[in-house]
Amino acid sequence: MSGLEHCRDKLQSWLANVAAAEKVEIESVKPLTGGAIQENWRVECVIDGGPHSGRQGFVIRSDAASSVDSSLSRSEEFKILGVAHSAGVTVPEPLWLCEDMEVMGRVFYVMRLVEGIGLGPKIVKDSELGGNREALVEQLGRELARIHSIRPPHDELGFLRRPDNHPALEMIARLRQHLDTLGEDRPMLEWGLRWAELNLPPNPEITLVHQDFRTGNYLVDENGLTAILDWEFSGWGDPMSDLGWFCAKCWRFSRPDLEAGGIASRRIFYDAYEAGSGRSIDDQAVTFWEVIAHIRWGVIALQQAHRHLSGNQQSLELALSGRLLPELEFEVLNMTSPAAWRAA
Amino acid sequence: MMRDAPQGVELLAEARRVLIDTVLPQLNSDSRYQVLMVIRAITLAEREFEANAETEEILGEMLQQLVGSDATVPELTQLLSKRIRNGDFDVSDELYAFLRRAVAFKLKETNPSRVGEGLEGSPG
Repeated sequence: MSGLEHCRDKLQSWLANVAAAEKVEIESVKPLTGGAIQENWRVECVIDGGPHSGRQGFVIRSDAASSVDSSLSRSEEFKILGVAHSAGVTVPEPLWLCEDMEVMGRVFYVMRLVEGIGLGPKIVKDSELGGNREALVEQLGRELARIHSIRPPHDELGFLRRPDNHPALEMIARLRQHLDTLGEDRPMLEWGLRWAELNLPPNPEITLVHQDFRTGNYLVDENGLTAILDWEFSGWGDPMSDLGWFCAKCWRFSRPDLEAGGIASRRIFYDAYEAGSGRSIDDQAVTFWEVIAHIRWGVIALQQAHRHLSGNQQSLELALSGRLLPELEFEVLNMTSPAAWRAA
Repeated sequence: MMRDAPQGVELLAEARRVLIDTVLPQLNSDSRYQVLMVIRAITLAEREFEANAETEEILGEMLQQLVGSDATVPELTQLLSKRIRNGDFDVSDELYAFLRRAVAFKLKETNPSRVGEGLEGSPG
């Protein structure tokens, strides 16, 4: 059962209980790739009795052995997914949360299986995927608007901390802290962070932000979007930060000319977002968050490289992350020249 | 120490050729991804061998001038990072020119196709 053998019986009886079924028979379990922080399994089962009776496909998501700080716990993520689902965001329907360590030895939750392809470079390259590209980006703009319609205070999201300061200042402090923890002296990133500190956008309204909304973190089939994934970094913040992350050059893969996630033009994305949210986009704020996006991805890449270098998790993929820095630093410098700085 | 030919860098080039021409075409997508990463690693190592020691020296000297000390490069980098954070180099053309050259040096190894983008001249 690829990692769930040890708990098959317990899992089956737990599923039968939460699904109000007489019996659940797990037919297959397949590990899904793409989780450095979580572990995901695709589970096919036959449910006998109750509202879910019949053959069903689920995804089980649990904490991975080595988790990254500043990401949400699985039970928090489950709650956010529920709120997003209720707000009409296209997410896999969250079904059941299990905090009983007796079942699997870790906290996990079950969501409905959604088919689709998520790999960023593939989606950008293969224009047969995701249906009409402009329609796909329009939908992503509307989805993001729906995410940003969720505002604090929110009864079900009481565990999310409200920023005490400007969310950008908190992000800058966090990134500096990560660099210090890693013992990394990075003049280019420091230059970008200092620029950011002196060029803050106006105080934003605070909404739910996904904080990893980009090509590579949603699923598409041949017709269009099927699900928005990877909610583990979400929290209260500046809605413009999600637009900056989505449009940042580092997430356009082989199509830097298509500024909305390597899929279509920025204008189409912005128009759909503005129509969906009733909010005007602050261009300068988005540009600001694009600078932060490259710094943040640079810091994450350094963290990944350190996981390999420390010997905790030997991996060529993690090792190569360390060599992503020059391109990210290059983008940071391009966006923060002294001439542009003086003109601001 | 004298070594026999071929040199390490030539061996890496040959190893990369075998992977690309012979191994890669036979693989399924999972193993393909793994081998593409191995090729990437070999390529980076090859370019390190070819890196221009002179440029590295010039960068070291620029760094010493900026920081005003003749400490080692890691020490200077640490000092410079701290000072940038403290605001000692805000809007500094001199620092910016150095950072661009230093990025260009690293980019020559990781993505030489981007080095041409105005990096080595005056800040754009």
